[in-house]
Amino acid sequence: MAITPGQDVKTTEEGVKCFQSWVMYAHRAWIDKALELQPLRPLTHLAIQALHHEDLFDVTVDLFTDVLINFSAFLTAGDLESLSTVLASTRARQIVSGLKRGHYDTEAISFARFLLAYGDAFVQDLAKKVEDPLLSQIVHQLLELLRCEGYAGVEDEICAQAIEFWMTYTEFLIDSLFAAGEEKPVWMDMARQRVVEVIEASWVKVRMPAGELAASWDSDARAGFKAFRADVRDLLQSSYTLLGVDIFEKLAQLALQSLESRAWLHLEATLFCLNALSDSISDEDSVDAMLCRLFGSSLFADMSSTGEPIPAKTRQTAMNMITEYTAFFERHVEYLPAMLNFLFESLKAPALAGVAAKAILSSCSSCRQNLIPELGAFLQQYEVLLTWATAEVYTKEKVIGGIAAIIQAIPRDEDKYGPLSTLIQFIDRDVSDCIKFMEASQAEKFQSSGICALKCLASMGKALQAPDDAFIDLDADAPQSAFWAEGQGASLQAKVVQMMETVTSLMRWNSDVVEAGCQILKSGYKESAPGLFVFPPEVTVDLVLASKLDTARLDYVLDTACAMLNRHVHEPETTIKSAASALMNNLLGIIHLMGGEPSSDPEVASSGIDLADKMVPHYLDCMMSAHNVQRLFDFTLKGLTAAEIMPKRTAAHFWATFVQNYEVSGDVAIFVGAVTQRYGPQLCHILVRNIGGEAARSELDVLAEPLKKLVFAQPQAKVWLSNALSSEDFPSQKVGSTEKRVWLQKILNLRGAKGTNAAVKDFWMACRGREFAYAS
Amino acid sequence: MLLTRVRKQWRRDHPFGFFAKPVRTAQGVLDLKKWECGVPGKDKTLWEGGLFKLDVLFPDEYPTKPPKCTIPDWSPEVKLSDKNAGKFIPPLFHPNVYPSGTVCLSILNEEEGWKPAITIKQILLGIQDLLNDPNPDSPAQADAYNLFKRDRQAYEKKVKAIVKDNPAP
Repeated sequence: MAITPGQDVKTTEEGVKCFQSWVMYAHRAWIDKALELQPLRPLTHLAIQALHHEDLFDVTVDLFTDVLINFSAFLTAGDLESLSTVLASTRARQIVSGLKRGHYDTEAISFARFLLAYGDAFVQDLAKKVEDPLLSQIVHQLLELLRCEGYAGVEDEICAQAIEFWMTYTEFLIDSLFAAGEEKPVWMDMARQRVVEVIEASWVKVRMPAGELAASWDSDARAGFKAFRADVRDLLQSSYTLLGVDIFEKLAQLALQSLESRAWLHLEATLFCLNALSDSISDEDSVDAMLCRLFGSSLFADMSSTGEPIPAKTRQTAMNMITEYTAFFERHVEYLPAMLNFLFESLKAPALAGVAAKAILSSCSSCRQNLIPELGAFLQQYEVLLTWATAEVYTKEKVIGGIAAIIQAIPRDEDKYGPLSTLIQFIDRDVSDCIKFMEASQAEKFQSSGICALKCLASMGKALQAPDDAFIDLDADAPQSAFWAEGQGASLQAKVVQMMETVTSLMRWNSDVVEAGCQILKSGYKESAPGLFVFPPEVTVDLVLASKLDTARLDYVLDTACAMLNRHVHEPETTIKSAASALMNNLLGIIHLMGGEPSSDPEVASSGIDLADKMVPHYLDCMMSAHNVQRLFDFTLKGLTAAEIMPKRTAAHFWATFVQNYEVSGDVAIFVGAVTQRYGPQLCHILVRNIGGEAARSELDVLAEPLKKLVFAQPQAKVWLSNALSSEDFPSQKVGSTEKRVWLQKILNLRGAKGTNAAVKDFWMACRGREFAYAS
Repeated sequence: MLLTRVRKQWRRDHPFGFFAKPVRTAQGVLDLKKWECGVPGKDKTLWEGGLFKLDVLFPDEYPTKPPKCTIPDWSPEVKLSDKNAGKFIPPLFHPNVYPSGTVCLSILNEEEGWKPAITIKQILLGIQDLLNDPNPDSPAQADAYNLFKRDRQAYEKKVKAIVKDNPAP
């Protein structure tokens, strides 16, 4: 296959293709059988010659791209040199400068892929051999691929692949830097400079198109461009390790310049790059110095102004910057007012309101101490916000939560009262609206104002919780504030309860309302000090007792009751016991209404069983004195045979809790003993049926729990289990009495140890038959 | 090294809107065993427009053993104050996400569907499918599961709120 002028091009083309197939065949054979490559290699230089032939260019470029990507070891040092010469040739330069002008023809694109394949295969040489003129030229060409005309992923198909190469290049540099330890490789500075140039080129490429152009893009174009920006973000994050704070400073400078020249899309691109670095920065002081200059500039004022034609995207990226650099504002509270003004202004814009509201909540929450003096302004601003069209539930609940977080930081309860009652009055407007709309039969507005009121209250309750890192007074004798128990404080709390009860009583069928009501209650459970949202247990009990089977989210209401019992162990004994008794009786009522059938409402059943579970052992006396308590035990046993997984799980958990040894005495001990005697045999019977093949495999671990506890704590379990195993309705014929006996002995010997789970699985599999074993 | 190859493979070929990358240690070194990923909600589903972060941990025995996928606590203000129920608050409202954040998906279970040939792309696409198509046979949290079974309309509303709270950039 010699290339000579005048030769039949078609034949040569076929020759190149044939060669390509042979090389790929050789690749496999070389890996599998260490095939000798020598016979094929002499042909490579002939193929390289074909690269110079215009009509053969495409097919040959394809060949070498393929070889470089898949089998670069095939190429000899001589071949590489020849390829490097081609890639650094005048022709190559012409193609690349064509690409830069936006000439994306097939030939140019194939060539760019060839160049990138070469880059990927020899990235180490390209980075290290900075003195080599050919390789330096190739590196330059690779850089030029980032400077082509057109938007990435839209017209420009190459730069996304080029970024990929530069990512590999950057990572190689980072690896070399770490591998070298103290001694920095001599080529590092030059190579690093290349990465700086890459970032400069990328900064140009991530710039957003002007509004009209962007509007003309289809979804693919949009997606392609967005994906490119994400790749650049990755590259920036990696490059920080290499370039350090210098790159941050450079970008911050650029941002200030763009701001000064009112180049809004340039500014957007720069802020985008700075945002990408937020997670990577390590040298806080230098970065803070630059951020001080940037946030101390007219940035926020400009972004808030309506006079300038600032693209929405720029405002949005500026806002993202606030969320990316929240920690900075905690260190430099002097910039908070300008930043928050910008956020509040942004609440007006429908496209920005959601993000702004969220940012307000997180800023207020994390800088609450410093914002106390601004509280008055916040309350005023909130009232203004209520008049805007963007004042939707989401916006309101976030902002009101932010303000409540600031109030939380006020030391004295007396001083919290004023601003809290202002917030409550704002919310009360929604409650009044809710009633008004109900009377006017405006269903939609009636619901939305009710939901809004309760969600805002829930958000307040959550924000008023003491932060995790708050100072905890270990001196238990210190008097707790009585502010919320009497006078003004108590009446404000009563107001909150009344608002919550008003709305929930109107809309028990609405899941949002019921859920928000429960969240309001839950917000005080974990507080160690009294507060506006720290209610007495009766408030929860009232909500639970008012809920019927047709109440939306009854399962969630019962979960709330569980959480309350969990949290109020320090309440006066009588208060909490009477709450627990009321909850127990209510639960028995629900069970009765369900006809004692967990499957009639599996979700309520599992929440109910969970509630009963929480009563063991602290509230066993309440359980004991409840009327018809046997319904509960029958119900939980039925739960174990239910087809639905949730009641089955909670029922298994309930029995695992119940049959354990715990310290009880007197009547309660007698009660527990009697229940265990009565239900133990049935419990064992049901467990054995389940394990004997009736349960699904995924339920076995859960079912093993009560079994373990029984074996450990109840001496009679041996007899009960043995009877169950020999019972006539044992579900499997595949195991005989010997296997059953051996298994029981094994379980008993394990005494509840972890190995029980494996034994249970093995037995279940034996009962079901081998086809249920997983292939492994 | 295998995980380097996994990473290359992902970079060469990943679905739009997803991201997956190893984290960097404080010194800037890549920790290839711990990846930070993002799964977008599928188009034309309730989850469209959301982006859900995910931590993927590759065990030493990978690929014999599957990676572990957990949803991190993403929202700092929630983390600070969400201690109301006295139990773990699941970081994502979804029937198959445990309160600890672990995602329950059969292909991630060594005893079920895991195969060493499963790629990170397949895992993340699997999780994207799971978002909109929960598996009611293996509930991992009661709250989302109950609502899903009981009140589909309320469940869907809640999903919409979650998407709003976790918008794709």
